[in-house]
Formats: sequence, structure tokens, C-alpha cells
Amino acid sequence: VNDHKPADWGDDQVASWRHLLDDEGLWVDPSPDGAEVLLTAIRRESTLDDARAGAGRTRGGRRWRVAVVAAAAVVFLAGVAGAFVLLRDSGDPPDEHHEFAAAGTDLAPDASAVAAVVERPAGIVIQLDVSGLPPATPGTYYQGWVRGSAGLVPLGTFHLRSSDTVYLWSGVDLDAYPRFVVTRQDEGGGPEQSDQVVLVGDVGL
Amino acid sequence: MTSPDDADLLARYAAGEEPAARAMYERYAGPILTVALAILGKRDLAEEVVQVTLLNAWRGAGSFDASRELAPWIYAIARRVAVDIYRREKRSDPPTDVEEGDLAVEPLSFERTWEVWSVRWALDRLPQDERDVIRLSHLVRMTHREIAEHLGVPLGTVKSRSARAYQRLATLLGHMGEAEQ
Repeated sequence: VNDHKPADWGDDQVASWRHLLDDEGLWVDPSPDGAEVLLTAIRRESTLDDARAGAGRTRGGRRWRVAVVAAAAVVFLAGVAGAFVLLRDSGDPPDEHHEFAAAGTDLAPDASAVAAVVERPAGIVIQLDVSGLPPATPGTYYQGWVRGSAGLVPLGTFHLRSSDTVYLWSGVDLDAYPRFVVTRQDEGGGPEQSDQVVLVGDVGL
Repeated sequence: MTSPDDADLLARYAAGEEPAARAMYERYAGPILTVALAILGKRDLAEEVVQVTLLNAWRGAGSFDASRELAPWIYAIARRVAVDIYRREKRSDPPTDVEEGDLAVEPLSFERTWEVWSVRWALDRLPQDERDVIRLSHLVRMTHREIAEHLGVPLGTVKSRSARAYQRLATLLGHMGEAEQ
């Protein structure tokens, strides 16, 4: 199989590394939504830092970032407050539920969402109250997903053209699928998750 | 010493710039994932290592010594995180539950995982057409002729891409060896 490899490939040190190329782990691609997850964690930590440190931040070079993050936090908290009002006013969902937040990515920087997770006999309902995410353009749609150690599970599709509240159903236990993602999909693009991630969040059960 | 590109990237990352965070992920997630897989053997845990490593790098960017290379610094963080998670999982795993794909008996040595990191790093620097030839050759174990048929290109093209790829890898790995020292 390897008879075509040049005999003079590099010096001894390099040649000693050659067998590593056969290792499957060397060729595994990182998660396509990993950058979004990282950005969400940085934003979240920046917001917490800002809340702790207030205006007296001592670390140079980060002040402008704090301002940006603080503005984002205001928008986010407003969204959370609005969602609480929505949930309380509508009385829906009436059952015991868990809530988590999702943040917009650079594809949808103004977007945010609050999700209420409710157990139902037929599955788990995720009521998603979305802010700042435009309706899907013709030929596209949004799709919810959860990801965990066992892989990726689709939750359902939506377009947001007449409502900002979406009900997604999960048939899997969210304890095992802690990462929540919404993508923009192209019609005819097949069932796979696209790389157009617009919202990310941690279920945090 | 850190290259001007790396120094600029890390400074922008420390400042929380989104493009810099994306560049850091694009540049380092692959090598971190490969090292974590070599230590932990589980995809979900390895993805956790990628996230924790890059977040720790962001937190610690202000204390990074610019007289050093960036890649070995990231590597050292990644290995430390992976070993911490390895120990955590070992504590929580009953010894009778060992199955295929579970944690290694002992994590690989610092030098061995540096080799893994270096090769992955070099592979990720290859042009895509050259990387494809190396992947099909080593991972899928195709011959040059089979690769040519698979890609729909002449055999000579596969041979020349292969030769260029190995030459480029040799150069890149040589540089990584220098950075290590």
C-alpha cells in the first residue's frame, strides 16, 4: 500500500512521525459549531466579568470589549425579561419547566432566545421565544438541533414569518444532549446540519 | 519568539474579537482535538478539551510570554486539560466498566502527544488537494492508482501532489521540531 512513498522523505526525526499519519484520530474534524460555542462562552464570561468588575476594570486593552459586551448584555437581559413576561402572561407552558438562553452568532448578531423546556407524555417540548432573528428568506428555513456525546438530533424546522414563538419537540433526553443549536438551512440542501449556525445555547439541565 | 501574526492574533483574541476567536478555533481546534483523542479516546470528551483549552487560552492570553512560540503554549494547555479530564473520568468510571473506546490505561507521554500535535498541525497547513492525497493514502489505504481513479485525475497528478505533500510535511515538521527545542 505504501510502496509509493518516497524513501528520502525527510530526516530520521520526521520519518519517525510518518506512522502517525495512519492514525484515525489525526483526521477527525472539529465540531462545525465549535467556534460558535467558544464565542458564546467568551461572551458569557465577559458579561459576568463586567458585572463583577463594574466600570473599574483594570486590565488594559479590554475596555472597549466590555462596552460592547455590556451593550449585548442589556439586549440579552431585556430579551430574558420580555420572555418571562410572555411566559407569565400567556400562562404557557403551565407545567414545571426549565429555562435556558441562546445567543446569536455572527450570522445573526442581534438574535437571542429564551427556551422553556417542558416534559410531555409524548416527548420534550422546547418553547423558543426568539428576538432579533429575521424571518427565513424564501428558499431557506431554520432548524433546531441538540448535540451530545451520542451525536446530533434534529428538533424541527420553522420560518418565523408570522410569530417569534416556536415549539420544537425532542424525542431524546436533553441531559445527554446539552448543546442547543439553530441553523439556517437551504431548501433542497438535504437533511444534514448546515454550517450556517445562527443561535447557540447550553440546555444546562 | 512568537511570530508577528501570532502575537497579533492572540492580542485580538484576548480583546474578544470574534474574527480572532474564529481564527484561533480554525487554527488550533484540529491539533487540540487530535491530542485529546490520543489521550482520552472519546469524541465527546475531546470536544470538551477543545472548548476548555481555547477558553483557558483566552483567559490567560494576558500573561502569555511573547518571547515564546504560541503553538507550544496552546499545546501545553490542551494537554493539561486533557489529562485533568482523563483523571476526572478515571475517578468516575468503575473499573469493571472498561469497554472498547474507553479511556487509555495511562495517558500518552508529553513527547508522544507533542508528536501527534505536530503532525496534525502540519497536515492542516497542507493545500487541500495535497491533504486529500495523503488522507486517502494513509487513512483509506488507497494506492496512487486507486486515488487517481477516486479523484478522477491522472496518476501523474497524484504522484506529484503526494511528493509535494511529503516534502511540505517534512519542512513543516522540521520547523515544529525546532519550535519544540
